[in-house]
Amino acid sequence: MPEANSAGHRPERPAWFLGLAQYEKPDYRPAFRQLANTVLPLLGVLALMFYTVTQGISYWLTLALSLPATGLLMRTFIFLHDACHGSFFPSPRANAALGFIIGVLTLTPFGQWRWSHLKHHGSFANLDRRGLGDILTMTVEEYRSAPRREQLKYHIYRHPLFIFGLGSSMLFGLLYRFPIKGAKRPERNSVWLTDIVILALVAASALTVGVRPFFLVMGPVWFIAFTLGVWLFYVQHQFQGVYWAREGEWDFLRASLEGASYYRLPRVLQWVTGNIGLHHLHHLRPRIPNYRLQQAFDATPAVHIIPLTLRTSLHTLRLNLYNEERKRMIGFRELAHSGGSMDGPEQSA
Amino acid sequence: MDRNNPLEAEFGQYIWCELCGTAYASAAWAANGNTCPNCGATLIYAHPWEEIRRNNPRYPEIPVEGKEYALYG
Repeated sequence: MPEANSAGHRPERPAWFLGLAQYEKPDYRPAFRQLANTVLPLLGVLALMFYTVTQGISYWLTLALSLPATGLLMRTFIFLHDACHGSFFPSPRANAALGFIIGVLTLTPFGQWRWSHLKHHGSFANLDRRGLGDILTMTVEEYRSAPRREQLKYHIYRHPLFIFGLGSSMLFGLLYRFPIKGAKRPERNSVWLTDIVILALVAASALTVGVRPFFLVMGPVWFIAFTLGVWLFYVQHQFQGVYWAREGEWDFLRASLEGASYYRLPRVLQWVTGNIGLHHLHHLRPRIPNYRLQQAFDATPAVHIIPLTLRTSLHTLRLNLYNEERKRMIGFRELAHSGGSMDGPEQSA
Repeated sequence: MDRNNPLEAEFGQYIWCELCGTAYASAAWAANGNTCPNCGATLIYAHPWEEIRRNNPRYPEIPVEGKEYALYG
């Protein structure tokens, strides 16, 4: 059933959807347990990395340590994500404080990120409301009618080396340093305040360990974490069979179950990513904390959709455009082989 | 009650948004295309303010518009 916004009433919600509400209650105990088993080891590994750099121990060891540090930093980011949904701690103030602190560690202005992320939740899989908090996705029609320069820009943007390499670092390191279009005063202030605290941290490191060791330690951790973070965000909404719809047809349940993926990862990676692979469930009920997602999933057969795996997720790298007519993602190469026509090889297949 | 506003008939005078946790008048949701004036969430995330108050008796009868209220305060 299409979303009934224009009709002015809430769409019908199935019993299993209502049943998921029982998992939405945040709890201090698992929250503090997660902070203890993640942030403390993270600080420990970072301290060890600083030690190796300042004592002139092989930088290869520092780089090796950056891998567990990256995993722990990514998991820490999930706590920020929960805080943004008001689901990590029971108190909004505690969530805001935690979100701000983790935001500094991850170069993410919490207030602005929260604002754009909630907009993403309100508009994901909606072709008429793209552009905030999502990976830019053009339809075939838009791409074909775009000037060459725009096509080239889009090509570069969607290239894996850009989107997961330079692009992800530019996003967190540079673009997040400035307010985005449409951001209101609280969001803008969160950007400036985060910037000031990051600058203060860099200044403090200059006065103590030195700027060079600071970047030798944090540089690789941030780079790998941003790359993998953007990859996660990418596979959550860019996969074959993904649901996109125009405003009038957009359906919340379909968007959640078919417009967001279930990325089934090996256990260690699932821990590192704080269950965010259960992304379809997260979109259905954003207030379920990461520490209850698996439990909610296990108890709800209606959300047991076909998962993406590490192997199948790699296929998503070839997807660049949404073919609105055929309701599927296609790659630049496929479009080129069809001679630019949307009815090319698919018809003969 | 504004009988011309179907949202008010369904949700009451104020709506709490499950997505961002803010409460706004039903009329404000209606004026925003039946989406949350703060975050743009659709009506699937809308709950009558009275329903949230039942779990949180300390919450005011009339919420401060734009303020974030926890689901379990």
